[in-house]
Amino acid sequence: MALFTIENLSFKYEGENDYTLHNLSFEIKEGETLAVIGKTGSGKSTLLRLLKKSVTPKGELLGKVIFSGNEISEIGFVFQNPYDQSVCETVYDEICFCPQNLGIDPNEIRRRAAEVCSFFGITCLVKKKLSELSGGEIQLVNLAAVSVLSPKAIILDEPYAQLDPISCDKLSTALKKLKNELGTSIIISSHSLYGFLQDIDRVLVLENGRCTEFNNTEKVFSNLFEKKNLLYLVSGSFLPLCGGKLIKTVKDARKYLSENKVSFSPLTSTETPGETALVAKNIYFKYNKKYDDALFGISLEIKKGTVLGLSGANGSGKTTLMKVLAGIKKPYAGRINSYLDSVYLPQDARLTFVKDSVYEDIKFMCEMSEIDESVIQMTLEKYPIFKDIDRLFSKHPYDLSGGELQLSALFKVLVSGKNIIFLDEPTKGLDPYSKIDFIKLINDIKKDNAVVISSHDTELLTEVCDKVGMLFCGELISLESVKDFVFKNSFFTTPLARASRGICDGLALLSQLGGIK
Amino acid sequence: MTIHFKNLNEISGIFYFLISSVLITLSADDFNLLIPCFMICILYGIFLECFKTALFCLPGVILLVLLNPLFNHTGNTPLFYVNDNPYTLEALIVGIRYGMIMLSLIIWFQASFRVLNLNRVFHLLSKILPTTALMLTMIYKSTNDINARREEVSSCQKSFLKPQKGVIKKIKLLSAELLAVSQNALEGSVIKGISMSSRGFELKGKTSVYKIKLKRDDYIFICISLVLLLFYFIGVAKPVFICVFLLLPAIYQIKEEIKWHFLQSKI
Repeated sequence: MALFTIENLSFKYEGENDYTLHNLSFEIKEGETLAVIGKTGSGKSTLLRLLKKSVTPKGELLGKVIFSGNEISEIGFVFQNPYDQSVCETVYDEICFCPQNLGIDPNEIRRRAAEVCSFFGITCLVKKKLSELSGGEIQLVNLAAVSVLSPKAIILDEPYAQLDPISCDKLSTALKKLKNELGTSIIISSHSLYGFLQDIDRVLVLENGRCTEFNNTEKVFSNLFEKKNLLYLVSGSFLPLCGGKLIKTVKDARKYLSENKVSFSPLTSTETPGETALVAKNIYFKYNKKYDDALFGISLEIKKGTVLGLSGANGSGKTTLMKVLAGIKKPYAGRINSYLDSVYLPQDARLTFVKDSVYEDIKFMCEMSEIDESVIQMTLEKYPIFKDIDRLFSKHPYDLSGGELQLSALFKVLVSGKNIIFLDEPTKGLDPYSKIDFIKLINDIKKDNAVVISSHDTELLTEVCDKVGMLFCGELISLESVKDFVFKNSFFTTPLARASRGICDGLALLSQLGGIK
Repeated sequence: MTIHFKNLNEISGIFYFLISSVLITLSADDFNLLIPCFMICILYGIFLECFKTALFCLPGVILLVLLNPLFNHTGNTPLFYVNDNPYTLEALIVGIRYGMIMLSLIIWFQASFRVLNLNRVFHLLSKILPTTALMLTMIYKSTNDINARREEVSSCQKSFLKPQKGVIKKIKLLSAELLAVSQNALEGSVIKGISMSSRGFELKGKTSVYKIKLKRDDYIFICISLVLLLFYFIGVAKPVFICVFLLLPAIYQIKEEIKWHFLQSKI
């Protein structure tokens, strides 16, 4: 039985000339899990928001979205940014918010809240303030808050975009429980479905607001692979391994590798060490004298022309270490000798812009730092990858997509003339195309600069870094070549390295197969 | 020692803090009342670690105390003359009194924020004015978010720009940062608004999971407070009664600690 029926749906935002969605028609069955994938700006979020009337954006809507039932209580909606959508101060209030608004009896609300907290395993968080929780925990609370009324469908708009892999796993587990134990329909848009792929029934591919594929998971990804559409990377990294056959887990990939011979080029390291850019010796740092040390006796050296990666779990001290090395925070013990100027890009790259357009902001930086404006033109000419960036200059930084934002922020960094670049989770929320562009960009700029990247994305670290350091409880427990990092680690490594271990050692990246350049 | 109203309803807490702040203000005319009030406020400030704002305001308060006699010339004991106008001891003392009241009230209100569970206070309000209560919760919550964002924006600018010299440049940078933070906050509030409306915020007939029922402890606490207030207003040993009243939460806490100690020894 169809839960949603979408008939000839087209949509145009208020004040815009072009339609964002074009003539979409499909059905979503009860209990079905549908993934909506596509490049940034393809209309995924718009489509999801049109499925629930109360979150529909303003604009011209043609066609029909049919849902039989009370959309407030029977459709839950989880947004991309976990922090912005929560309303109340504590977890318990957040969970009770919707049923209270619907005027449900308080005793009934208490029972449902207790049930939902146990179901999602967040009982220990109930009395906590939302401001004390991590992004992953808040996203789980948001999911619990929309599930409290046992909705028929839950819509999630890029729920993984702001989360680290461990939080992504937790969220995937919760979604699996919702689907398998309660039979809830899940409609999800994401740039990475690895971990939740097994539970997806059908996939809808959007390109420029048009539906180009709508079929079961296996068929859609195989078709994308055949068409050399990089959106197949949304499924994880096993497709090119077996010529387009969808493998959903590491276990299946190991089985395939043990039965078939795969040829691949060895993992290469392009390290060409230059002059020393920064030396840190025995750094100790704490946020408050009452707190424990956030960084504990860290020593490292950063060289020009290299990319250093920082890996580790949430709260292990990656961001703190970058801020200390970049000179934003001061260590209480230890010494940092910086021979070049440092610049730090936060996880939310929007925070680097303080003016209404990208160009205005860069001009403002030039004015404040007494940099000649001709440097902007010189940077454009020096790095060919920025050849199209002038189309972004007039845009407001908040209107840029994730990839465009990273590109603009890195352009600003290069104009600033600072040579040690610290990037905090730079690929979070990027689509496969933007991620590949980002890798090209890093390879391009690393020649004249020293780059430090903190990321949970082991594929990114393996692809671009020369050395990778691993932090644990504020301590740098290892600092080794990328080869050692990827092949010695069992958990903090790429899915492909996990699959190939002991069967065809040395395989860690898709680029080794000659699939993606 | 942490003073809290864990076993008491928020109504008792609000009642206590409102009455006590009126009493502190009323004590301005009498040093016998003002000094013990001021000392108790400082004690609470130390125990609850909430005298930072008072310390921040201290230079301003001292300035006001010193400036008051320049505009107010009443009094019979001139200390010196400024442009033929007397700078009197009496005017200085009045300034000191009001300075002490200001500092006491700042500490007192900060203490009340520490002790009361604001979230439950807003819920209490939500029974009467649901929309106002939610707005207050959101404002209270977003203050922390905005502070964190401001710090992040500021550290980014610090990283991108050379250290700024000159007041005009510093003001220019600060205003740009504040504008960016407000834009970021507004962007977030749009999503928040949509999230609220998608979860039925605009619907009528809301309910609340919080119980506002007063317990035996609340009645005892309010009764003792009323008796103390009665003696205070009759005018018998005013300083004693005001001290006991202001120390009531600490006394209540000590009683709870003793009770817990005996419960533990029985276990």
